[in-house]
Amino acid sequence: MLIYLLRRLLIAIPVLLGITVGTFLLISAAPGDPLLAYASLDGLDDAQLEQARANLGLDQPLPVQYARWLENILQGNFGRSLVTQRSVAGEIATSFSVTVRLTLAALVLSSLVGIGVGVLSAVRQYSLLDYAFTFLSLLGLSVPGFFLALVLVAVFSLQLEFFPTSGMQTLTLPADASVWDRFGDSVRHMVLPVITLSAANAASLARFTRSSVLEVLNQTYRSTARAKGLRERRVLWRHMVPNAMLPIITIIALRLPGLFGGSVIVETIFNFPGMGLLSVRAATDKDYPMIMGITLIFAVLLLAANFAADILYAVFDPRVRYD
Amino acid sequence: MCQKHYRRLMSLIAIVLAVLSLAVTASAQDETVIIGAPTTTAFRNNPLWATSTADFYVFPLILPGLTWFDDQMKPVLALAEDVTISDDGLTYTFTLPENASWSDGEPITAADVKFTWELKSHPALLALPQPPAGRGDITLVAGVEAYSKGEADEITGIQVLDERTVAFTLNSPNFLFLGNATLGILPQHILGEVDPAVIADHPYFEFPNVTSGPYLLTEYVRDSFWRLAAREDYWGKPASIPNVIIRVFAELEAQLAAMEAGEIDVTAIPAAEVSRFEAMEGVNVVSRSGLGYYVVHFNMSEPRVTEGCTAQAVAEAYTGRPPLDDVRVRQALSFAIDRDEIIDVIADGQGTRIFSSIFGPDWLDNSGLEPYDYNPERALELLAEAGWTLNAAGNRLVNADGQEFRQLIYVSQPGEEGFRLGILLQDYLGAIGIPVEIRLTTSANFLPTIFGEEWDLARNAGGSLGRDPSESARFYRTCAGWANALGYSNVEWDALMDAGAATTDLAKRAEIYNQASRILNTELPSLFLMTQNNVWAARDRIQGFTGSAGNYITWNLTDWTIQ
Repeated sequence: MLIYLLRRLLIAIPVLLGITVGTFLLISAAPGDPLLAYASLDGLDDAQLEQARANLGLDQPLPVQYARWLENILQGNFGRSLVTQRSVAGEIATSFSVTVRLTLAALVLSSLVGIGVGVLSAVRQYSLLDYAFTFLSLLGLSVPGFFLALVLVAVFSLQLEFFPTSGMQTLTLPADASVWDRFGDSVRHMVLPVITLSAANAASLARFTRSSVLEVLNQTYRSTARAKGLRERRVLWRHMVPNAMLPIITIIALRLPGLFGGSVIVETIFNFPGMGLLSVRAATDKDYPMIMGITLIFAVLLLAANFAADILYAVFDPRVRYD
Repeated sequence: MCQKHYRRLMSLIAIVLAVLSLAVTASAQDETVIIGAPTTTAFRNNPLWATSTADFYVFPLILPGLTWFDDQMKPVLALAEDVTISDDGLTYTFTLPENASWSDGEPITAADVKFTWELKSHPALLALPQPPAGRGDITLVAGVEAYSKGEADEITGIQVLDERTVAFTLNSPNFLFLGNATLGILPQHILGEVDPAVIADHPYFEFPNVTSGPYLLTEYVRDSFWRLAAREDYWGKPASIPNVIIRVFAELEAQLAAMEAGEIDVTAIPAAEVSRFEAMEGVNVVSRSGLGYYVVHFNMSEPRVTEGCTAQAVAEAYTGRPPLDDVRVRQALSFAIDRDEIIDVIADGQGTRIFSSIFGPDWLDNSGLEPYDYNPERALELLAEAGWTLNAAGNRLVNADGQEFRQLIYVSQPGEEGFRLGILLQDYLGAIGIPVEIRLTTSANFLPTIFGEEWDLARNAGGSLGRDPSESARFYRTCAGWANALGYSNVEWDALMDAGAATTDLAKRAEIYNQASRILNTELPSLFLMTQNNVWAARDRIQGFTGSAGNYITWNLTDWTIQ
């Protein structure tokens, strides 16, 4: 096991390098450069532009630029944003907590809803409930996140006025508002973004759970448990669901990077200043160091999630051996 | 059992919803104005690099410059109390108010002014890896160039005459200097000892807690909002609104929804949304004639002159690019389009026709211009003069040799508006036998396309040409960015622009610019379409909100009141 884990960790290094090289090539190949994207056409003087490009190191050949970036990263230096002049690491750290909050909430919500719906669908296979859930899952999978977000805002914010349209807090809370009030306010602001972020994930989890539970429905240990006189609910939740969950756990772990990706849209629409918003702006501004920094973090998260999925699988299923 | 479950679930949902919607509806709304702002670029909390709309809302309230812009984008005094201009138009002497003080009690002095301008042009600061944005403003002042190259210890053109008086000497007379003295003044007593090379990291720029303007910054969450509170010790006219919040939005839709839901009080709105917001209760819609222009540029000559661009070099290098190098063809295209319809389709009627890039301000004599009223017959006549007539089928222009008028390539940055304009052009020009191909680029790739690829027509909007006729020089003067991209050069026009900028007498300026305007109106380096209105929505409990022809709505915020 230990050897396996070490091997996985070592393999992660070239994978990470590959991702950064790929990203670097992609953003270099994308048309335009940060200066042209930024400066307006009037008053752009070539000497100034060349100087600025040299200041940024953009006049160097690509391999040199990449090597420099890598050298800095190895020393823990993510560089500075071309636009804000702040350290990339600092910017990412600030926005990371926002995204983590959003993503974890979405992970919990989508897991609860997805597994719950999946189990119910399976045990009442071909019932009206099953068909309704199947329909809703298909809807959840096929409606694009941005559209769902706009519909949620139109209905629950503008028509029903249940939730705020965007932002992370009510700016006009009285200064003496209690911690509870502030917490409630922050939860209200998270409801629509978290639902948006969870929808597709919950839907696909529901489908996976349904088929996974259906598989264990006909296993003999079900009959054994029943024969022992256990109540049906106990049979379901203590004997069948845990077994059905084995593949689901890895799926949940693998979903995490997807949720981070989804946060790009959700954060933009709901104005949550997290990693998603940061990466959109970095891309628009062609802020190279920022794009590279964010990609690296996302890549690490992706690999970590894969890694976690492998380990979880081994932990939950004693039959799995990594030797 | 199923019933019981269902009921239990329903009551749980009801409780959660009730708690969530009841939670904190009490607010301090009657003392606070929340202004919505778009995130156009990433923020720096630093007037040295202020470039975004939100910056332009916030900094006049906390760190004003000597001057700022009113709702017509005319320069007005901000931090300075008085300015005198020498007869030769070269020296501007500003006086600061006697009792002006920073919020920590230190006096605001002429030394602060000089310190800030020197910081802005300090070689170490310019050497930071940053895009060269917003630097043009300060180079009008004598000695800035030498200082920024490290050849001088100070900017010789800025002289501290006494504690409250500072004089700026310009390289040459320039009527626009007042509009370029807007750089927010920084506290020397806090930043004076900091090495300029690392000043961007100074905590003051994370949170500028010592301010010179009518407001204090009390809370700042990056990419979310600035919270400001009126200074009780303010030395000038005190603000009547105790709290102001500038809230930023990454998405226009979110910003409009927040206005509709009552979460913000003031916002810019697109022309297409005017009727929606006019129908809202308690909301005022203010439409102001704008300053930016909306045009389609012609690509008339090749190649561009990239190094050492001069009128001479241009005259030698440029070769005409048929068929658009023929002024009759460009005039024909101008007659072939219906500007009123374009204003309706593109700007929902919120715009005014223009006939050259020189269209404001009110003192300008803009008489004697050809209005190019929609007239496809006239267009065909002009094309015939240029040697192009419709073929037998009446769907394509051909010349005497039987050659077809080639398809024109229209380029635009992405967005529905640019696409719609392309469709309109296809219709109008198609009707006189000219096919048009639409190519949308990304924003980042727009300029590289203009400079490096094939195109004939390019949509361009913006600038602040309406605030002073001299602004047009930045677009059409020989070798200016756009002029070079279009292959346009007219030395007579250049001379008029030089004369206009150096003249302080308004009647004389009006005469000069009228001449310049006629040249553009005849030669048509661009298809001049319109200037769009700026439309704002504000809650009607806010009195004194004027909107702005530009982007600077907080210029008179101390005059606003809440009813």
